[in-house]
Amino acid sequence: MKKVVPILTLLLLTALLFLPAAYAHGVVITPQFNGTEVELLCTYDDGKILAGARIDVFAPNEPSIPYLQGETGQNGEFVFTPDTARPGEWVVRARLDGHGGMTRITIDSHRYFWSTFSTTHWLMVAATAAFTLAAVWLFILTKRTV
Amino acid sequence: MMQGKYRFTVIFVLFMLLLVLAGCGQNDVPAEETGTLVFTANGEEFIRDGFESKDGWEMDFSHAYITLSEITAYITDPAYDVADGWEINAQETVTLPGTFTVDLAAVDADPAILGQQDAVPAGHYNALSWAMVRAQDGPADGYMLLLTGTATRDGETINFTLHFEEELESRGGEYIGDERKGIVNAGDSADVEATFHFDHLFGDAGEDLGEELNQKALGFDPFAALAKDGELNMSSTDLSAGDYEKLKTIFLNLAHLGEAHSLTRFR
Repeated sequence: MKKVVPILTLLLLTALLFLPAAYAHGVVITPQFNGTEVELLCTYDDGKILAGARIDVFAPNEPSIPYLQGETGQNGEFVFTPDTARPGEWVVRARLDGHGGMTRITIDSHRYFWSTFSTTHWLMVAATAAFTLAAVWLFILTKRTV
Repeated sequence: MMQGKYRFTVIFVLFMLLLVLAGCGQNDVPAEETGTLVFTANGEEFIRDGFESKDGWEMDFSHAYITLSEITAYITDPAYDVADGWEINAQETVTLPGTFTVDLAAVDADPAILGQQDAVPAGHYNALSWAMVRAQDGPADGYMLLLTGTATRDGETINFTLHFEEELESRGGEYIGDERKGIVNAGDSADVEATFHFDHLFGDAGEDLGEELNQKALGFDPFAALAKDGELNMSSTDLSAGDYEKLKTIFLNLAHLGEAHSLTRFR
């Protein structure tokens, strides 16, 4: 035991020496998406419950205007239903007494992929389909001439 | 007759191919959209309006000069978070060249404007880094931070001038506050903000004394102990060794982005 204490002390001091930077008392938001609702658990980074924190939820297509606002319950919980017609990365922020945290939740990424298709993309798809049809037509015509 | 049909088909296929290639070209070279990014610093109401320290001193600041340099905003995807470590992997970087001394206690410093960069690529600047350095000239020459004002308790008033030479550098992810910052739309402007929480230094009587903020804060008593005849003009190194170590830890938690914590280290 006498040997262990100085070794542990030395290790601790060494760790402190190499600690490059520090941040403290941040807010941690743990999301869980059950397919319909997003359940959030908000705590400080030391695990202490964040009760009564202000919640701001932002949809991906309106990053500056909150989709909804609310407050966490006594157990740091908050539940909301995202609009699945607005797929992509949703942002949730929790704030209380000068401390804040943020998390990002991806909703329905498959539908999001198709919704990002622009007019140019669709034009390319149409042109490729027409090109394929023309190639088939050409092949049939060539066969008929033989 | 059949030769004519064949020729028509070849022309049709070539036309379609041209259409596809034109579509690809249009998609690959989009016109760049740009806007303006404004860089700001904020000491919030604590420093502009004053507050009561954890040990009961009414703090009123006449000046709070802080000097910032190497100010850089980033577009990051995935979004940078201080928990990721020091490295910021950015898709876009915009730097504000120069060193700036601003008075966070000024009534119009809500926030204090450091400068702006025009024609920056549109996007969400969701990370920010900066250095806190000693001023090379001006009212805070030689100091990273200079606080002046009065502290009053139980009829006793101390006129203080506090000099801090320590140099640090900070970085953080997206600003957290009443609004979302850093979203530059084409042809529009947005701001990013380095925020400083001085309640971490003096504590806040409005908060429970058992709160972590007050437990770690110095309060004003250690400074007041060095005053003579109501006057205090001191440097941070004049504090006792124990209080100075405490101050160094406080400095690591002084910088924020709104309410989001930063990652800070000494230079």
